[in-house]
Amino acid sequence: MDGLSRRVGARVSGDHPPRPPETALEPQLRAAVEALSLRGRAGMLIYLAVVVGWGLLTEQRVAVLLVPSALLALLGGARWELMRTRRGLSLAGLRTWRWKFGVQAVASIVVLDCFVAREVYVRPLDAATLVLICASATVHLGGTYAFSPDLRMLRLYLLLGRIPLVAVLVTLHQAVDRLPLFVVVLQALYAVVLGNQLNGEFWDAQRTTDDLHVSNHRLLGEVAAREQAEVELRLAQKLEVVGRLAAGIAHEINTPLQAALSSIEFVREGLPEVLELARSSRPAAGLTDDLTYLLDHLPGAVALADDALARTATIVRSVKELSHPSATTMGTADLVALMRAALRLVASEVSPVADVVLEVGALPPVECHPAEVTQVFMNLLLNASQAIASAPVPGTRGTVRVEMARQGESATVAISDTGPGIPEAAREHLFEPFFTTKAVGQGTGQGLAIARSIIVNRHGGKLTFESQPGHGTTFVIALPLGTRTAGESRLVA
Amino acid sequence: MFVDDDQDVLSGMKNMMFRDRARWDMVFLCGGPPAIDYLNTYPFDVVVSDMRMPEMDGEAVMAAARLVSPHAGRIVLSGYADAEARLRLVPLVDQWLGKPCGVVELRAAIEKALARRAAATAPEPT
Repeated sequence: MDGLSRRVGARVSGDHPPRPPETALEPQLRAAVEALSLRGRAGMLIYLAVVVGWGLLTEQRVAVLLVPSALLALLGGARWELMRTRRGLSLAGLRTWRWKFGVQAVASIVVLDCFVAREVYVRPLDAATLVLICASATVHLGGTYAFSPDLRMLRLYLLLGRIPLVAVLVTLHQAVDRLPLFVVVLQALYAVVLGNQLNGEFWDAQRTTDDLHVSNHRLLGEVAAREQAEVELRLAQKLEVVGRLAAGIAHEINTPLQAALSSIEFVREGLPEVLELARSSRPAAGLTDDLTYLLDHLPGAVALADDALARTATIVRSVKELSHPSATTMGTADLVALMRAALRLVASEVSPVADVVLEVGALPPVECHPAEVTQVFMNLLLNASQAIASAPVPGTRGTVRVEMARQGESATVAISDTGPGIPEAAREHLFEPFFTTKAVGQGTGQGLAIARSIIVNRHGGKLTFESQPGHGTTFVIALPLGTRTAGESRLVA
Repeated sequence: MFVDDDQDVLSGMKNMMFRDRARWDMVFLCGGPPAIDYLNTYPFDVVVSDMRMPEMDGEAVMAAARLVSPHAGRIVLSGYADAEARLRLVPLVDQWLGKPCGVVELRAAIEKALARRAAATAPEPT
């Protein structure tokens, strides 16, 4: 028993995937099977009692020979019980069992009845007919149990299964006139009734199981959708907090930035005069090396500082635009401006590994959530640069190509990289939440899922990709142009 | 007059505007209360104020300025570009500049405010 369970366990957990949940028996079916096996055993016991009682009462030697057939059937039931306790109940197991049990029970009855018939001098031809008829009954019954796809077929099988049983009954009675009719009737009735019950309950249980399976499947889908929504909500909340934080920081930075910028402008405006004075004040004595250096380089240094401050101001402004409250509501936006803002924000990540090529066609303003679209741009740009960085080619830089154009009634933004491409196996999971090929702690697996959610669910657009291993990947965003723009284009056309 | 709660910003602006000290009479005030005091005491043509300040914010300064001298130019120089606040302050504010703001922009804004003020006050005597 130990060995068997270990073997069974090994088979289940080994090569094969774990048993799918739909074959696990539902409680209702389990109860039906329990009741059935109890009833089956009770029926067999009654049959046994009747046969033995009849034998004892009439002192017929034949009756004794019928006892093993009943015992065999009981044994079959017991074996099933044993298997069930070892392996647990499953729909597949139940099907196999029904078939086996049907064959076993009917075969045992056939063989023993034939034996009885020979004892009482039945002609060989009759015996052969009996065997054939019983075999067909077995097949029908077995078929009923094993392959009953729907109720109508089930009824047909039951009907077909009954014909041979009735034939058995008649033939047995004719062939074995010493075998009392009631024993034969009992046998046949028992088989018919048992078959009916088995099938009815089995079918009910299976239908229940199917229903349960369907609703279970639906529930699982709902749970998954809910989980996805929760993940998105959590992320949106996080982004909101980050956005507010960024806006706060941006304001805090702007104040000292104002002071720094004002001062630098002051220095820049005042410096030429001071330098002129320095140059002219000591023309005769000649300038020291240090002073010459200062006179040459101070204007450049001030210009550099001025430039750097202006760039800082630009970055801060981009952050503010992204976290601006009005940017989270629907409005018309210039996708090119959003893309430029996104490029500025990810420049520190992209520029070390790749050059950015921006190709812009005529693109009307698009109705969208600017902050969300910018976020998608940033995400895809970061992915592109990370893809390039993941497989660096010595001596060359990658290229991130951004093409923005109008195609029919939608604005398309194609972001291509020269990275290694997406492996075949990863493609179908690409937009699933938590799917990532990045190292643990580097990617959350949310970027593309959110990008897709933003583009598809929030904007009614499309997010697709093409990838050639070794040649790179292109993500294409298609955002529908608003109805207003569509109207305009019709007027123009 | 320039109003800001940050002394560094004020010093920076004072430096930045040093070329204009000959043509304009400028005063730099730290925070709302001194600004209101000044408004109520001395004449002025243009107010440039930060929006978010402790104690008394730019809105109060602007309201006081309008009360005292309706034709004076009112310019906000703020790090916040909150659309709602901007809408609310439309009647109070003539021009809105974002921080950080360069000398060219600021000069242009003040010149524009002065020109407007001249245009608004000129017809009055006639």
